[in-house]
Amino acid sequence: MLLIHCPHCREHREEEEFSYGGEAHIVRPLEPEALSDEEWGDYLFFRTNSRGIHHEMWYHAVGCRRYFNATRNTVTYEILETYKTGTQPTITGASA
Amino acid sequence: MSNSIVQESVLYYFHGAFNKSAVPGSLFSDQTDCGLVIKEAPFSAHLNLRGDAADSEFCLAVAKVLNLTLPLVAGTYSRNGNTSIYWLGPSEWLIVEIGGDAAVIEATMRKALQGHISIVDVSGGQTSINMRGSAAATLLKKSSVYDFEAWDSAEPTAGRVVQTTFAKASAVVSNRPDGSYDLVIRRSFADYVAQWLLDAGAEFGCRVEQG
Repeated sequence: MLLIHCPHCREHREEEEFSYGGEAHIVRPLEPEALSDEEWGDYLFFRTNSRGIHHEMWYHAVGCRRYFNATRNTVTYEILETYKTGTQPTITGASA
Repeated sequence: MSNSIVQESVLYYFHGAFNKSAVPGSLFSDQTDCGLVIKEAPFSAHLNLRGDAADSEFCLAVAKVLNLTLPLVAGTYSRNGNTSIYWLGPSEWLIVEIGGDAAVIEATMRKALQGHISIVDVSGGQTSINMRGSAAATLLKKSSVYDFEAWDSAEPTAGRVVQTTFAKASAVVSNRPDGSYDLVIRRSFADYVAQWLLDAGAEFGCRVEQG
Protein backbone atom coordinates (compact mmCIF):
# COMPACT_ATOMS: atom_id res chain seq x y z
CA MET A 1 0.00 0.00 0.00
CA LEU A 2 1.17 3.50 -0.82
CA LEU A 3 0.77 6.63 1.23
CA ILE A 4 -0.15 9.47 -1.10
CA HIS A 5 0.06 13.11 -0.09
CA CYS A 6 -3.17 14.95 -0.93
CA PRO A 7 -2.38 18.63 -1.58
CA HIS A 8 -5.91 19.61 -0.53
CA CYS A 9 -6.13 17.58 2.70
CA ARG A 10 -2.45 18.36 3.33
CA GLU A 11 -1.60 14.96 4.71
CA HIS A 12 -0.54 11.51 3.60
CA ARG A 13 -3.47 9.18 3.06
CA GLU A 14 -3.88 5.54 2.12
CA GLU A 15 -3.86 4.57 -1.55
CA GLU A 16 -7.25 2.89 -0.96
CA GLU A 17 -8.85 6.35 -0.75
CA PHE A 18 -7.63 7.39 -4.20
CA SER A 19 -8.31 6.44 -7.77
CA TYR A 20 -6.13 6.97 -10.80
CA GLY A 21 -7.17 9.63 -13.30
CA GLY A 22 -4.83 9.16 -16.26
CA GLU A 23 -2.19 11.41 -17.77
CA ALA A 24 -2.16 15.05 -16.66
CA HIS A 25 -1.53 18.32 -18.57
CA ILE A 26 -3.38 17.23 -21.72
CA VAL A 27 -4.66 20.46 -23.24
CA ARG A 28 -7.95 20.34 -25.09
CA PRO A 29 -7.56 21.82 -28.60
CA LEU A 30 -8.99 25.34 -28.80
CA GLU A 31 -10.60 24.70 -32.18
CA PRO A 32 -11.52 20.99 -32.29
CA GLU A 33 -13.42 21.49 -35.57
CA ALA A 34 -10.19 22.62 -37.29
CA LEU A 35 -8.37 19.36 -36.49
CA SER A 36 -7.91 16.47 -38.84
CA ASP A 37 -9.32 13.10 -37.80
CA GLU A 38 -5.83 11.91 -37.02
CA GLU A 39 -5.01 14.89 -34.78
CA TRP A 40 -8.33 14.52 -32.97
CA GLY A 41 -7.69 10.80 -32.52
CA ASP A 42 -4.24 11.55 -31.11
CA TYR A 43 -5.76 14.00 -28.62
CA LEU A 44 -8.47 11.57 -27.53
CA PHE A 45 -6.71 8.25 -27.41
CA PHE A 46 -2.94 8.52 -27.53
CA ARG A 47 -0.90 8.87 -24.34
CA THR A 48 2.84 9.23 -23.80
CA ASN A 49 3.17 5.96 -21.82
CA SER A 50 6.54 7.20 -20.62
CA ARG A 51 9.11 5.10 -18.85
CA GLY A 52 10.33 6.94 -15.76
CA ILE A 53 8.93 10.37 -14.84
CA HIS A 54 5.20 10.61 -15.54
CA HIS A 55 2.73 13.37 -14.64
CA GLU A 56 -0.71 12.01 -13.92
CA MET A 57 -4.02 12.86 -12.29
CA TRP A 58 -5.26 11.26 -9.10
CA TYR A 59 -8.69 11.60 -7.52
CA HIS A 60 -9.13 11.61 -3.75
CA ALA A 61 -12.39 9.68 -4.04
CA VAL A 62 -13.12 8.87 -0.40
CA GLY A 63 -11.55 12.05 1.00
CA CYS A 64 -12.00 15.60 -0.27
CA ARG A 65 -13.27 14.41 -3.70
CA ARG A 66 -10.83 16.63 -5.62
CA TYR A 67 -8.47 15.88 -8.48
CA PHE A 68 -4.80 16.72 -8.12
CA ASN A 69 -1.64 15.88 -10.06
CA ALA A 70 1.23 13.61 -9.13
CA THR A 71 4.69 13.06 -10.55
CA ARG A 72 5.42 9.34 -10.45
CA ASN A 73 8.31 7.21 -11.58
CA THR A 74 6.65 4.47 -13.61
CA VAL A 75 9.65 2.16 -13.10
CA THR A 76 9.84 2.27 -9.30
CA TYR A 77 6.25 3.47 -8.68
CA GLU A 78 7.74 6.15 -6.41
CA ILE A 79 5.54 9.25 -6.17
CA LEU A 80 7.97 12.14 -6.25
CA GLU A 81 5.52 15.00 -5.65
CA THR A 82 1.85 15.89 -5.71
CA TYR A 83 0.54 19.30 -6.68
CA LYS A 84 -2.79 21.02 -7.26
CA THR A 85 -4.47 21.05 -10.65
CA GLY A 86 -3.61 24.26 -12.49
CA THR A 87 -0.05 24.40 -11.16
CA GLN A 88 3.10 23.07 -12.78
CA PRO A 89 5.31 20.23 -11.51
CA THR A 90 8.73 21.05 -10.06
CA ILE A 91 10.13 17.68 -11.07
CA THR A 92 10.12 16.99 -14.80
CA GLY A 93 11.78 14.50 -17.11
CA ALA A 94 14.31 17.20 -18.06
CA SER A 95 15.30 17.95 -14.46
CA ALA A 96 15.45 14.36 -13.27
CA MET B 1 -56.26 6.40 6.21
CA SER B 2 -54.01 8.81 7.95
CA ASN B 3 -52.58 11.70 5.99
CA SER B 4 -49.61 12.13 8.29
CA ILE B 5 -46.23 10.73 7.32
CA VAL B 6 -44.48 8.87 10.09
CA GLN B 7 -40.80 9.74 10.26
CA GLU B 8 -38.52 6.76 10.60
CA SER B 9 -34.85 6.84 11.45
CA VAL B 10 -32.59 5.23 8.85
CA LEU B 11 -31.78 2.69 11.57
CA TYR B 12 -35.46 1.97 12.26
CA TYR B 13 -35.37 -1.61 11.04
CA PHE B 14 -31.99 -2.14 12.62
CA HIS B 15 -33.31 -1.10 16.01
CA GLY B 16 -36.41 -3.24 15.46
CA ALA B 17 -34.45 -6.35 14.53
CA PHE B 18 -31.92 -6.15 17.32
CA ASN B 19 -33.89 -4.60 20.14
CA LYS B 20 -34.63 -7.71 22.17
CA SER B 21 -33.41 -6.37 25.49
CA ALA B 22 -35.57 -6.05 28.58
CA VAL B 23 -34.82 -2.36 28.93
CA PRO B 24 -36.55 -0.38 26.18
CA GLY B 25 -34.32 1.77 24.06
CA SER B 26 -31.05 -0.07 24.55
CA LEU B 27 -29.50 -3.20 23.09
CA PHE B 28 -27.44 -5.73 24.99
CA SER B 29 -28.21 -3.74 28.12
CA ASP B 30 -27.36 -6.73 30.31
CA GLN B 31 -23.77 -5.57 29.80
CA THR B 32 -23.53 -2.58 32.09
CA ASP B 33 -19.78 -2.02 31.66
CA CYS B 34 -19.59 -1.33 27.95
CA GLY B 35 -16.47 -0.24 26.11
CA LEU B 36 -18.58 1.16 23.32
CA VAL B 37 -21.91 2.97 23.38
CA ILE B 38 -23.48 3.91 20.04
CA LYS B 39 -26.24 6.46 19.74
CA GLU B 40 -27.84 7.82 16.62
CA ALA B 41 -28.96 11.42 16.29
CA PRO B 42 -31.94 10.89 13.95
CA PHE B 43 -33.82 13.56 11.97
CA SER B 44 -30.99 16.05 12.06
CA ALA B 45 -30.44 18.72 9.45
CA HIS B 46 -27.56 17.95 7.07
CA LEU B 47 -26.65 20.50 4.42
CA ASN B 48 -23.88 20.48 1.87
CA LEU B 49 -22.39 23.92 1.25
CA ARG B 50 -20.18 24.91 -1.68
CA GLY B 51 -18.57 28.28 -2.08
CA ASP B 52 -15.32 30.16 -2.60
CA ALA B 53 -13.13 29.98 0.52
CA ALA B 54 -11.07 32.90 -0.80
CA ASP B 55 -14.17 35.13 -0.81
CA SER B 56 -14.17 36.82 2.60
CA GLU B 57 -17.74 38.07 2.16
CA PHE B 58 -18.94 34.49 1.69
CA CYS B 59 -17.01 33.30 4.78
CA LEU B 60 -18.34 36.15 6.90
CA ALA B 61 -21.94 35.63 5.73
CA VAL B 62 -21.82 31.91 6.60
CA ALA B 63 -20.28 32.71 9.98
CA LYS B 64 -22.98 35.28 10.68
CA VAL B 65 -25.90 33.01 9.78
CA LEU B 66 -24.64 29.98 11.68
CA ASN B 67 -22.91 31.89 14.46
CA LEU B 68 -19.89 29.72 13.70
CA THR B 69 -16.51 30.30 12.08
CA LEU B 70 -16.26 28.70 8.65
CA PRO B 71 -13.37 26.21 8.96
CA LEU B 72 -10.79 27.00 6.26
CA VAL B 73 -8.02 24.72 7.49
CA ALA B 74 -8.11 21.19 6.04
CA GLY B 75 -9.47 18.58 8.43
CA THR B 76 -11.03 20.91 11.01
CA TYR B 77 -14.55 21.81 12.08
CA SER B 78 -16.38 24.35 14.23
CA ARG B 79 -19.15 23.60 16.66
CA ASN B 80 -21.61 25.78 18.53
CA GLY B 81 -24.19 23.95 20.63
CA ASN B 82 -25.96 21.50 18.34
CA THR B 83 -24.65 23.01 15.11
CA SER B 84 -21.41 21.93 13.48
CA ILE B 85 -19.75 22.86 10.22
CA TYR B 86 -17.21 20.36 8.89
CA TRP B 87 -14.49 20.96 6.30
CA LEU B 88 -14.99 18.43 3.48
CA GLY B 89 -12.84 19.98 0.75
CA PRO B 90 -11.27 23.30 -0.23
CA SER B 91 -14.65 24.63 -1.37
CA GLU B 92 -17.06 22.24 0.34
CA TRP B 93 -18.49 22.01 3.85
CA LEU B 94 -21.07 19.94 5.69
CA ILE B 95 -23.44 21.67 8.09
CA VAL B 96 -25.10 19.43 10.68
CA GLU B 97 -27.62 20.64 13.21
CA ILE B 98 -28.79 17.98 15.63
CA GLY B 99 -32.57 18.13 15.70
CA GLY B 100 -32.51 21.11 13.34
CA ASP B 101 -34.82 21.97 10.44
CA ALA B 102 -32.88 21.81 7.15
CA ALA B 103 -35.49 23.82 5.24
CA VAL B 104 -35.20 26.74 7.67
CA ILE B 105 -31.38 26.72 7.56
CA GLU B 106 -31.37 26.50 3.77
CA ALA B 107 -33.81 29.40 3.41
CA THR B 108 -31.83 31.57 5.83
CA MET B 109 -28.56 30.81 4.08
CA ARG B 110 -29.96 31.44 0.62
CA LYS B 111 -31.11 34.85 1.79
CA ALA B 112 -27.71 35.69 3.29
CA LEU B 113 -25.36 34.31 0.64
CA GLN B 114 -24.70 36.02 -2.67
CA GLY B 115 -23.03 34.91 -5.87
CA HIS B 116 -21.74 31.55 -7.02
CA ILE B 117 -22.70 29.23 -4.16
CA SER B 118 -24.56 26.00 -3.68
CA ILE B 119 -26.47 24.77 -0.67
CA VAL B 120 -28.15 21.37 -0.81
CA ASP B 121 -30.31 19.66 1.78
CA VAL B 122 -28.86 16.15 2.14
CA SER B 123 -30.68 15.28 5.39
CA GLY B 124 -32.49 12.36 3.78
CA GLY B 125 -29.25 10.83 2.53
CA GLN B 126 -27.22 10.51 5.69
CA THR B 127 -27.35 10.25 9.46
CA SER B 128 -25.14 11.01 12.40
CA ILE B 129 -23.96 8.46 14.96
CA ASN B 130 -22.10 9.19 18.19
CA MET B 131 -19.66 6.60 19.59
CA ARG B 132 -18.43 6.95 23.15
CA GLY B 133 -16.70 4.72 25.65
CA SER B 134 -13.18 3.59 26.41
CA ALA B 135 -12.94 1.48 23.23
CA ALA B 136 -14.25 4.10 20.79
CA ALA B 137 -10.78 5.14 19.58
CA THR B 138 -9.61 1.54 19.25
CA LEU B 139 -12.71 0.65 17.29
CA LEU B 140 -12.11 3.54 14.87
CA LYS B 141 -8.54 2.43 14.33
CA LYS B 142 -9.56 -1.09 13.43
CA SER B 143 -12.40 0.05 11.16
CA SER B 144 -10.63 2.61 9.02
CA VAL B 145 -7.43 3.06 7.02
CA TYR B 146 -6.98 6.60 8.36
CA ASP B 147 -4.22 7.17 10.89
CA PHE B 148 -6.29 8.39 13.86
CA GLU B 149 -3.21 8.44 16.06
CA ALA B 150 -2.14 11.49 14.03
CA TRP B 151 -4.95 13.40 15.78
CA ASP B 152 -3.22 13.05 19.14
CA SER B 153 -0.25 15.10 17.96
CA ALA B 154 -1.97 17.23 15.33
CA GLU B 155 -2.51 20.97 15.53
CA PRO B 156 -5.14 21.89 16.49
CA THR B 157 -5.74 18.85 18.67
CA ALA B 158 -9.45 19.55 19.04
CA GLY B 159 -12.03 19.91 16.31
CA ARG B 160 -10.60 17.40 13.83
CA VAL B 161 -12.66 15.88 11.02
CA VAL B 162 -11.80 13.45 8.24
CA GLN B 163 -13.65 11.84 5.36
CA THR B 164 -12.32 8.36 4.97
CA THR B 165 -13.18 4.70 4.59
CA PHE B 166 -15.12 3.02 7.34
CA ALA B 167 -15.31 -0.76 7.02
CA LYS B 168 -16.38 -1.16 3.38
CA ALA B 169 -18.33 2.10 3.45
CA SER B 170 -17.20 5.69 3.94
CA ALA B 171 -17.80 8.09 6.79
CA VAL B 172 -17.11 11.62 7.98
CA VAL B 173 -15.42 11.08 11.34
CA SER B 174 -14.91 13.87 13.87
CA ASN B 175 -13.73 14.02 17.46
CA ARG B 176 -15.58 15.79 20.26
CA PRO B 177 -14.15 17.54 23.31
CA ASP B 178 -15.67 14.87 25.61
CA GLY B 179 -13.53 12.16 23.96
CA SER B 180 -16.35 10.64 21.94
CA TYR B 181 -16.53 10.50 18.13
CA ASP B 182 -19.21 11.43 15.64
CA LEU B 183 -19.71 9.50 12.41
CA VAL B 184 -21.73 10.88 9.53
CA ILE B 185 -22.70 7.92 7.37
CA ARG B 186 -24.76 7.37 4.22
CA ARG B 187 -28.36 6.30 4.62
CA SER B 188 -27.85 3.38 2.24
CA PHE B 189 -24.92 2.11 4.32
CA ALA B 190 -26.45 2.89 7.74
CA ASP B 191 -27.70 -0.63 8.42
CA TYR B 192 -24.39 -2.15 7.33
CA VAL B 193 -22.32 0.28 9.44
CA ALA B 194 -24.53 -0.32 12.49
CA GLN B 195 -24.10 -4.08 12.19
CA TRP B 196 -20.38 -3.62 11.67
CA LEU B 197 -20.19 -1.50 14.85
CA LEU B 198 -22.03 -4.15 16.86
CA ASP B 199 -19.75 -6.87 15.53
CA ALA B 200 -16.54 -4.85 15.91
CA GLY B 201 -17.58 -3.62 19.36
CA ALA B 202 -18.57 -7.06 20.67
CA GLU B 203 -15.10 -7.72 22.07
CA PHE B 204 -15.25 -4.55 24.19
CA GLY B 205 -18.90 -4.87 25.18
CA CYS B 206 -21.24 -2.81 23.07
CA ARG B 207 -24.55 -1.08 23.62
CA VAL B 208 -26.81 0.74 21.20
CA GLU B 209 -29.01 3.52 22.48
CA GLN B 210 -31.92 4.88 20.54
CA GLY B 211 -31.63 8.58 19.80
